[in-house]
Amino acid sequence: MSTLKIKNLNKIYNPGKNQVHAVKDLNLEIQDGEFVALLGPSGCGKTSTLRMIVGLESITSGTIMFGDEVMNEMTPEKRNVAMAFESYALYPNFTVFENLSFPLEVRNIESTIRTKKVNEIAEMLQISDLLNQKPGQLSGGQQQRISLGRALIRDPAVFILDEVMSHLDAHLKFKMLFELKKIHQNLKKTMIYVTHDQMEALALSDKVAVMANSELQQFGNRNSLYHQPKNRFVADFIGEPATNFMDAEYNGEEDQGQMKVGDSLNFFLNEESINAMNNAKISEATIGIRPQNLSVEPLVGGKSVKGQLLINEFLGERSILEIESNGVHYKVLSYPQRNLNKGDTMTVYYHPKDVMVFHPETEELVMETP
Amino acid sequence: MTESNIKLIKIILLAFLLVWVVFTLFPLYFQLITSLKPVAEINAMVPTFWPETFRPGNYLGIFADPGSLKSLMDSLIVSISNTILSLLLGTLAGYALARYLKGIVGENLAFWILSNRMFPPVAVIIPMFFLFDATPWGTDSYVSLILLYLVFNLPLATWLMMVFFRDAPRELEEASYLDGYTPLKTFFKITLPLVFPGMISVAMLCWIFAWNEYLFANLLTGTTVKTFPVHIPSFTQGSQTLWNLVMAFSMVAMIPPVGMFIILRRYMVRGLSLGVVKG
Repeated sequence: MSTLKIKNLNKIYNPGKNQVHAVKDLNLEIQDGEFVALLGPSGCGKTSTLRMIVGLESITSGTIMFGDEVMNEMTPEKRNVAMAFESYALYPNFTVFENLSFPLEVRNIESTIRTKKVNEIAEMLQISDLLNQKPGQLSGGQQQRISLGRALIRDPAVFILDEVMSHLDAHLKFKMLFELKKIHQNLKKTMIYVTHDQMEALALSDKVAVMANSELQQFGNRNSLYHQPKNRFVADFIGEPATNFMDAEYNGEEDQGQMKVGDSLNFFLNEESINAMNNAKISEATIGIRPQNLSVEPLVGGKSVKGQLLINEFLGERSILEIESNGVHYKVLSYPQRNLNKGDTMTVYYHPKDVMVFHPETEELVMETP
Repeated sequence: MTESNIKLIKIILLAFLLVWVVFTLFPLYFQLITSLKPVAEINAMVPTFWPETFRPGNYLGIFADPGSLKSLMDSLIVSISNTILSLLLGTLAGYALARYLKGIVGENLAFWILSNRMFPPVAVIIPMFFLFDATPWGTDSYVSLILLYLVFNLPLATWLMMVFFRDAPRELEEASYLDGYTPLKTFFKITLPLVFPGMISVAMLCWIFAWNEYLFANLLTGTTVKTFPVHIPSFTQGSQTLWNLVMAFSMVAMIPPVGMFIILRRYMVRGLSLGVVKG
């Protein structure tokens, strides 16, 4: 296959009175060999989308194409997709070895090759010593790795990985993320990774499709998601700790391009944003600024605001400072601060280019139309 | 709670259990000793609780009547055929209900099927007789009895299998489709093994019903086909019922179900708890 094309895809459950529109007009094009993450909170439609891609769910309207071939009516076993399930879905009456070799057996692959492949994949996933056990005897993390292995052992057109890291502990997850990335680089196969964890999505993928409320919010690489979020949802969802949002007023030229938050807190905008605001002709907006872009150290060419420290959340390798300025609260990410205490007066620096402005109604990023 | 209190409660509970065991095992005990008594002793005004003379020969005596062995064979033919049919149809119907008819329609249809089992059978005895009389094979035949028992066993089998299939995780089938199996292959290779313990339980329940059924067997059959419950009342001598032979024959008739239960008990317990404990 070459590309995976999704055009105007819709999914409606229980059409009629209690209908649920799970996926709305989704358009997505995934290039051959790309690693794409479907990211979004639970209930955003990402699982419905992938179930339609693999053929486990019927399509209400729209098309799914692998290359030039329309997949809509194709049964799952004919689509040549491999999937690792969040609930593992290991066959309980088969041993781990049989589980791993099952997809190969179905395809009538010779038993010596099967054994060789199973051993390879088991070694990679560190489950070699479990091959003779039944899935019921294993821990969640072990089962998850077997489920991943069963998907990876094949040579499908697309790999679909549904929340495959959700039951692994942090240490193992980190290791597996690295392994998965390596596997992808070796296989160069299209992989779709479904997750609600932005860290996993950003760490692994070439591109991330952020979904919310049944709709695609933004599809892009991590840079664009992080620095040019299309709307408030993406700005909020991507990045940890979450973006600071403040409701602000804008009086155009009179305030020299400043957004007024409350009575006396002002944030400067850069020239592009000022132009955009002037073009949009709005006097109110939500501004967003990432805690990573606020600093307690002076910045070259930066502006500053003053406030009082409320909480110093000391996390070892960094500190999250919660600061209040005239009743407005916001967070600042800083290097570890041992000596700051509640009530200390702080000067917080920022670059005007890092102040994002969102439309008060559409919640979309206000930007100059190119 | 003090230790002596816990001990006391334990003793009380064990005492209850003892009473319960005596209560439930006594009929069986009485059946056993009666089957070993001579005719004179079974009618003693003060019944003996331990046979004064042992007559193990009763067990051979029952087979002096060639009808005895035939009735057991008839019962086997009817109950095994009925169980196989119930299981086959019930499994397929249960799967369809569990997977393809979800929501209000499926729920109501399933309940409607089960409600056949709640219908008092006595109400349809006469219509059933005429109905089977009109068939080419008539009332007194294996086919009639097998089909009739299906009326009672199939709803139960369908309902139970539906419950077992609902508890079998859907993802396993989906995984199998994606791994390349067709739905039919998936059903036989992946799904059926999952509900196998349940199938054993269903088979046992169906089989025991068909094995012990008396009312319809007595009404419909009796000459060409005669199952053992219908045969039991024939152990008489003049106006006297030969209870020792009746009990001996009943003991023999209990061997197949008890034996099968002992062999399959492992699966049966698991089957009935399939929905309770997630494996």
